[in-house]
Amino acid sequence: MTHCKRFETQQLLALVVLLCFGLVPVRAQSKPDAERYAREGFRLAQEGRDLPRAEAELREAVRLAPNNVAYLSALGGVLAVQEKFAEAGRHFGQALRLQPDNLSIRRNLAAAQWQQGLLRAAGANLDGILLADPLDQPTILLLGIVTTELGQCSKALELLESAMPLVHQRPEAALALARCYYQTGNHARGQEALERLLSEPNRPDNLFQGAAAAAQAEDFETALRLFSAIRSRYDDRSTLLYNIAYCLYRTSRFRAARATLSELVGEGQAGSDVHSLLGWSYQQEGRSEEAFQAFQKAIEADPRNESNYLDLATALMDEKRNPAALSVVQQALRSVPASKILLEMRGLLETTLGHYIDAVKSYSEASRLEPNDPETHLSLAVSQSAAGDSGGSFETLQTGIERFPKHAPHLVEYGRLLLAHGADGEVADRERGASLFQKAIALDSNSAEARYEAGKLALEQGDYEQAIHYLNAAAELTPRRSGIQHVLARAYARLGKLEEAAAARKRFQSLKREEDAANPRHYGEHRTIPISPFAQGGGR
Amino acid sequence: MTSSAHAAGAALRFCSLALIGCRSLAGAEAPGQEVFTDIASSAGIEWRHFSGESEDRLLIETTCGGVGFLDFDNDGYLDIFFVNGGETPNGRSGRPVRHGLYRNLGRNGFENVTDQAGIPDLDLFGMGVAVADFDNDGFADLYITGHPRNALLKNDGKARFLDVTDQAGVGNLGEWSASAAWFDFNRDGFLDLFVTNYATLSTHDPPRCEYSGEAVYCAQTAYQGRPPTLYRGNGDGTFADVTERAGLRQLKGRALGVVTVDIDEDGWPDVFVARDASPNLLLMNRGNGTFEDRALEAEVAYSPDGIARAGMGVDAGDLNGDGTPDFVVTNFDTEFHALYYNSGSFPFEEVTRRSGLGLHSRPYVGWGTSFLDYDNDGDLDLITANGHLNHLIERTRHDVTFEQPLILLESDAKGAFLNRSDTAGPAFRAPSLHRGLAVGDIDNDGDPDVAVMRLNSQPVVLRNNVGEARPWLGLVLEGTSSNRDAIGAKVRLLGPDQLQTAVRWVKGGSSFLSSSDKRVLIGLGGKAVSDTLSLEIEWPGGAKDQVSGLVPNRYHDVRESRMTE
Repeated sequence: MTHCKRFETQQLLALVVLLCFGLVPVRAQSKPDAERYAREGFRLAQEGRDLPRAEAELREAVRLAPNNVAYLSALGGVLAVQEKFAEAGRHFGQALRLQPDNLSIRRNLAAAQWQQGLLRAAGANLDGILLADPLDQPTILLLGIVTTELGQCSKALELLESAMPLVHQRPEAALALARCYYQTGNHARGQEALERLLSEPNRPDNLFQGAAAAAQAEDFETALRLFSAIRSRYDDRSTLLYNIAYCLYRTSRFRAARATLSELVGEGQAGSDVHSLLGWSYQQEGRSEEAFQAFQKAIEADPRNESNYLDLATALMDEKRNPAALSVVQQALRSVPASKILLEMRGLLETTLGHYIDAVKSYSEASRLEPNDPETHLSLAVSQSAAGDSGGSFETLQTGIERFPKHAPHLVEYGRLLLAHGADGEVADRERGASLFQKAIALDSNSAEARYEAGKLALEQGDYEQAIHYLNAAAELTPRRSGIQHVLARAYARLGKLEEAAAARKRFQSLKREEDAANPRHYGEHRTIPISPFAQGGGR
Repeated sequence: MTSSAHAAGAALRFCSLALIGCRSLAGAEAPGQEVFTDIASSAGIEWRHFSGESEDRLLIETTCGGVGFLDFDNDGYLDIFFVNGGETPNGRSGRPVRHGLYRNLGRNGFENVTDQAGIPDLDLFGMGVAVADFDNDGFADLYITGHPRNALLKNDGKARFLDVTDQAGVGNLGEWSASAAWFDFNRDGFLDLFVTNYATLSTHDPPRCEYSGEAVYCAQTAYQGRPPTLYRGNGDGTFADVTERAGLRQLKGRALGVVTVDIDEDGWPDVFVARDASPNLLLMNRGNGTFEDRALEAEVAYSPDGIARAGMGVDAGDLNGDGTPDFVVTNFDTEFHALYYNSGSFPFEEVTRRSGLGLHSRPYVGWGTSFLDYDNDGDLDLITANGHLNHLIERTRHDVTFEQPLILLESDAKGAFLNRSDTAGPAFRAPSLHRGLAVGDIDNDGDPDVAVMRLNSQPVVLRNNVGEARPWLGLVLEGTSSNRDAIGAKVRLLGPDQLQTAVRWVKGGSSFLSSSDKRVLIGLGGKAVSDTLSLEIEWPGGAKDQVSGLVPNRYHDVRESRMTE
């Protein structure tokens, strides 16, 4: 979705550049003709009326006097104001090579670099200026913005907070400050920084950007306030309304979100993203049939966009209409045949429906498209095992372990398969399984699965204390998984800790009820689940 | 208490020929000998099952097919009752869909006496059968389960059956019932009836599922599970629905199999219920008319990982020789059929993998199952009936087939099973859609024979060719204070030192949709056998009797003494 517009920074650059015009001495360094062109160029640039002509005059001046720092710098400035940042940068750079100590030119170069996204180069130049003039406020401001964009928010906050008067004058800087507050977890100060923008309602672009910053930080209430403040003034109404709807959706005001989106649909301004969000709003309201229709419209609006199909398929899966979801994904693959994510979705659905041989094909294709994705590779191995090809699964896992040696889930799956199907005899398999689970735990300290499997194995081997240790650790990592509590109860019971066993059983039953309510087909996946009327065109 | 060699007709005459010493005590089948022979056709059983299968793929079409052994005419030979399915909206039969009652003619095979015995055309889709003498009149009666009601057929003693469902009050209207078990839960001497109910079912608007556009059976979870029904026998031929009072009403789930046996040796019969994608139940009888489900504590409710498996059939038997009933539950493919050791306290120990049952059952969808000592070596072996329900399964998996074989597993007496299916006979190498399974000694030769239902096909009747080679002891128990069938009785075979060497129960229910021979068979091949044997019998009502002087290789009538503890 596009709730964040590109940060408008030309104004800031213009400020920096134009400040510099006055600092560059206009004096004859070469031919009198050059000086004439330069003076005309300066005049036009300062008037700001005919920048292309100013650019032409200055280009002529530079052609006649290529080593004139003032001409080069002025041309760079005029180019920058016209957003020709790369060329501007080249001229500022040329000027700087002639006058390396000129801080104004360096600042302009840094500004041009920043606009091109050359953040590290810009930062280095700005750091250089501050070494010479540590109190240079425009530089501090710009460096604050650059470091924000570099993701170095602690340093950015330090810089921006030391130039607050200028920050308050420059909405772009206020936005950078707000972003950093959000990023460092200080939502209150982020909100405070953005609220200042509301005092300037006539600058809707800034409010939009502020709202976008808040939304990016998932402060949807603040974002909604800012977006709403410019509802009647923002030029791009459809984008604004979409963003308002998005914030309403994210704050669980599904009905209001739907109403806002319907407004756009009514105005004929709905693209696939609007239909998609409308679909999710309906879905959240429990109006799944309308949701499916909205998702279908999103597909019609942009049939090449795989995410539209994924929306519909996911919504159908949410409603346990897996066969219908599968047909949507199959339809999607006809439009976007080389989509790894669609192939994976197809594999997942086929697995869920028990179509294991088909799932192997899906994951094989996905794996061919993206051979370096360990998760896809692992899914292939799991589907092979489910399809009854344990030999193939062992082979795939072995390859995966070699190719992705740091991927703990491969080790866990290999261990699990080893214990389920055996390979080298019971004792050897168990020893190897235990070793694989240990390695997985060492690789991934958050692997609940590895601990769960290690716990089950310890229980089978009669090491109840160890089993409880692993299982409790797994339960801490995935507290809502019922199966862990079931195995934990078994371990406690064998250790004679009957109260703990009873408590674990109670937790198991409670979690089981939750799981069954969330996914009533959980245990029926080896067969199939009901076809939705949707898949059959509304009838059986 | 009285004990006599069974004087009931042909049974005694046949057994009398089988004197100890006439057969090799070494036993065991000769190399290459077929363990079981399917005699259905040669014995005159032409009856075929009809499930009403259609493109509608109603789940009931594939979960039916019960079979029961009973000696309905008291001639000493076990007869067989086959439960037919029925027509479905789009699954029509060209001829009447009839259940089948076959009279055992001894060495002359079987004859179809369905009409002669007055088996009515019941207005229900048939699932299973539970056999018992519910009114203690000495004649075996039939309880037929199905949808949308069940039926009780009373044996009038003249080899004819009368539909007494309404008078008895056991119609279980509106339910889709599966297995049922006769037992005396309140130990008043009158049989009660536990009925498993599977799920709600609408034949007009059922859930529909497909694979690549082709209709397949929906997952069981598409069907809402139902609680069981418990009927208490009033002793006058009528029953009261005590489901609520017994605390069972809230136990909703898709139940398919049931076996009753005293699990904790408190004298009160308990109930193990196998359920399909619902946790199994272990209903412990509190002795006050109520039950408490302790399956979770016993660790039989779920798989070891906490997943409710697709429980279909269940049986109980002392597999490890510790005197307490162990349990087997048949499940879906890759779930493994489960084996639980009961050591007399909770939790039970699941030994599925350790026993080899996991390995042997991995690709199978199991239904009927029974512990049986097929070779009379003294250890309980295991037979299971398998068959998938998804006709497209081979397009979705490499390791599972649609039609599946019966499997015969022999206990090695050390806690593991050896797969004897390959040598057990052609029937074990012929994959099919097996469902209900019952065990009974149809030729009174002292070894267990087996009847197995196959969907939309002729049933299999397996004559055991090998067990008779080893010594055995047969018992026909008759309750007096207790229910006449002695369901719930526990039999301890005592060795020369009077120590227990084997324990058997007269169980209620067991297997899947089916009803096995209630006579007790004990293989003596692996035991120190004296010329005469001693037993202790604990009757369902609580009385205990000691019986001695029993000669092996024959059936003995044992009648409960009127004395109670």
